[in-house]
Amino acid sequence: MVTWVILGVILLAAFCAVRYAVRKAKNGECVGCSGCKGRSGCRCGHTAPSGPDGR
Amino acid sequence: MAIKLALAGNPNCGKTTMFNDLTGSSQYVGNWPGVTVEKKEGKLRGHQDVIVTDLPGIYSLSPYTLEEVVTRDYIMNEHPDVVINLVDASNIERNLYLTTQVTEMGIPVIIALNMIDIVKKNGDRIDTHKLAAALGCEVIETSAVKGAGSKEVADRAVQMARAGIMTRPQHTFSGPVEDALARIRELAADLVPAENARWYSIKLFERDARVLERLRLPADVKAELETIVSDCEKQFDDDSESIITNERYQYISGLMKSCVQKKNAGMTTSDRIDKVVTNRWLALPIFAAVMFVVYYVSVSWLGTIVTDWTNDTLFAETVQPLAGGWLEAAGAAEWLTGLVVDGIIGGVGAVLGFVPQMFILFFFLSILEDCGYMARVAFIMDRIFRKFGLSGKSFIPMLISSGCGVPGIMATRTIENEKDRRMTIMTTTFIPCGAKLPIIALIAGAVFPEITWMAPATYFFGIFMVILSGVILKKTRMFAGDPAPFVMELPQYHFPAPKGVLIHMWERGKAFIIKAGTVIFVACGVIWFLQNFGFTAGGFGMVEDENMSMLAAIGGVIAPIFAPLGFGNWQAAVASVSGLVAKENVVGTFGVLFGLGEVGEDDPALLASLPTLFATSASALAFMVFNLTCAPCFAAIGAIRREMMSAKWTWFAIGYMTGMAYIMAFIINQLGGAFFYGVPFGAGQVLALCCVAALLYLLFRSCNPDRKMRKPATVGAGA
Repeated sequence: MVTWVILGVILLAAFCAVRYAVRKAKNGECVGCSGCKGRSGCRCGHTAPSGPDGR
Repeated sequence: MAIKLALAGNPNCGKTTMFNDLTGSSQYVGNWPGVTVEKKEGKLRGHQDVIVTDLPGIYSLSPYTLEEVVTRDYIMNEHPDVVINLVDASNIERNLYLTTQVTEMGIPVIIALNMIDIVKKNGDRIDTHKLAAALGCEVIETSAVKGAGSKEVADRAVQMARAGIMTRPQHTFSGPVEDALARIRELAADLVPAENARWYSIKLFERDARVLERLRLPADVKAELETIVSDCEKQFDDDSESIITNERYQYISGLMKSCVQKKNAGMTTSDRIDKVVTNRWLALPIFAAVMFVVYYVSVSWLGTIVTDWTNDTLFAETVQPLAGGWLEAAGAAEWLTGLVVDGIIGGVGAVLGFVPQMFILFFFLSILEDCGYMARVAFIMDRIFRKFGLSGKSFIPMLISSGCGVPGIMATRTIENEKDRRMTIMTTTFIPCGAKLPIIALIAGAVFPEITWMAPATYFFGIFMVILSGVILKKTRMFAGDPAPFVMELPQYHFPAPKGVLIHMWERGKAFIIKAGTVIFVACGVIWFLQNFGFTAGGFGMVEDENMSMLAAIGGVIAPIFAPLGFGNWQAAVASVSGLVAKENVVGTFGVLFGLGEVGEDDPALLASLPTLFATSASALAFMVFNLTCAPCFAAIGAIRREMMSAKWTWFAIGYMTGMAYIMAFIINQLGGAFFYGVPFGAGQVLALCCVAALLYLLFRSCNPDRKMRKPATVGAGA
């Protein structure tokens, strides 16, 4: 039981990681770059993460 | 309705620094021009209804560069409520050229006289009251790096926007020009908004192609406009654009005399430092020494101490035993313990182990950049690049690529010459990015621990590959042509702002950690699964011998390709291919295969196991060279695809990089093995010598100037 619960957690984490990476890739952004917004490609350091409140 | 404030100014005058200060953002601030290639938006701190836009740096509002077009179109089409014009007070004369244009646009302007601290330090004085009166707009002294004055400027701009205060440009041209402008204004009165009429009149006088295209003047109006402009040109015996430019500079010259007092015309501290740092003979050795120290401290000395602690103490002695013990106690299956401890923690831990080295490297690179030295490096490299037919403009993306190849590739947008731009895209990822640092540290630490210059040498090898490729490619029809001129303003040296340095370092390091927690995490899980499962006589299941695994089977198919490079085994082949997902994966794969996180990079177990993958130390070097210079990761390939806007060019770039990497690794393995490790001379060495001869031919063959002048390259155009 423990094995399957832990495996489930790992698979869920892997799914979330893949979905995050795919979404980033679809938008032309690179993984890990918080500044990437919009569809004009990764702009690591080239674009703003909006306001200080994160909105 | 939201108030829109726009930050406009010359390149490298501190716009992004002020933007970060005003919005609380942590945008990358480069100490060289061309960092901001697109406009950026953020909300003003404490004002949810005020949007601040950081525009790309420009010298004028002529439509000659992408940045100028972006900025101009934004101001004319988006109508910001106030333009905050940042003026570099230490280079005020040149900066005011843009100011004279911005004040004519019919949009309220406030001037932020930035870097005033440098002016004061130099003992110069600027009469801001006189300047404000002469320009017809408010002038506020600021020092964005120190956070001084930024808030005052923004608050005043918001007040201006709310009160609807307009800017009345005080500058007038000479009589005949003003007469012509008045006639043009009358002529186009129905076609342009009244508040922008003066700016449009001037642009029509200059025959600005984009404005003419936008206004679509009727034929009779066009003819009359041409008569007005031609008459004026005859009178001045000059073209209309030059007339306007000359008169602007005459006006600015007058402003300088009345508003600016220079303490002395002698050399500033920056000039004195530059005399040494950019000296014809000393510049390159100083650059080499600086980069040696940076890489030595980051990778070989201080970085290794911290990384060893992370690998040996944190992961090997703490995290892995804890996780293993907990899983066993919880009754988890043995294979799951293997997946978590060896696969995930081993692989991700191997990559995370290099985080300290990365932080230290970026800390130093940020300091070098922020203090102004890296801008000098671009200047120094321009002199060298030009000798090989390349432009120093190509070096800016390469400087950015030392962090990450993706923004480096995007930074090529500032290169107007399409051939140079494509060539820079194809070569910029030769410079080792942060993700490649673990590969360098691993091979240098495990195979060449006694060679302290190995890590710094990889950086210079990247530059060497760029120059080599540049010379070779420039001699082909596709890339032939004179290098584009590179004009770059060198910023004044200053002490780096700790906040900026730390933000830069953190942003890069954070991206690395997130990548390790997502892409590397999944990749390591997959690698572990493929390494531990396979088809045996009993069917599909876990295998005792990893040579029977699926990973070994897949790697075994690819491995022969790498045999001439000295690492024709499935482990090294799989590690190289997994690097396409992310370069850190090369080390992550070794982490899973050898339990790097468990043993640490300088552990005797690893020292014994890793070199067994390579025929000789030359093969290990070939492995490192191949993985540093072959096709970049998928994210960078995506960036190449977007910037090339052509599938053909993208494939050409990937093929070129991988081909060059293969040839270089082949030469290193074959000749290095023969000359230094006693490998007998054979067919491989002969072929390697042929490759060297071919490269030398491509390097030194004469370039046929007639062929240069033939029709431009068509490969991939429009594909």
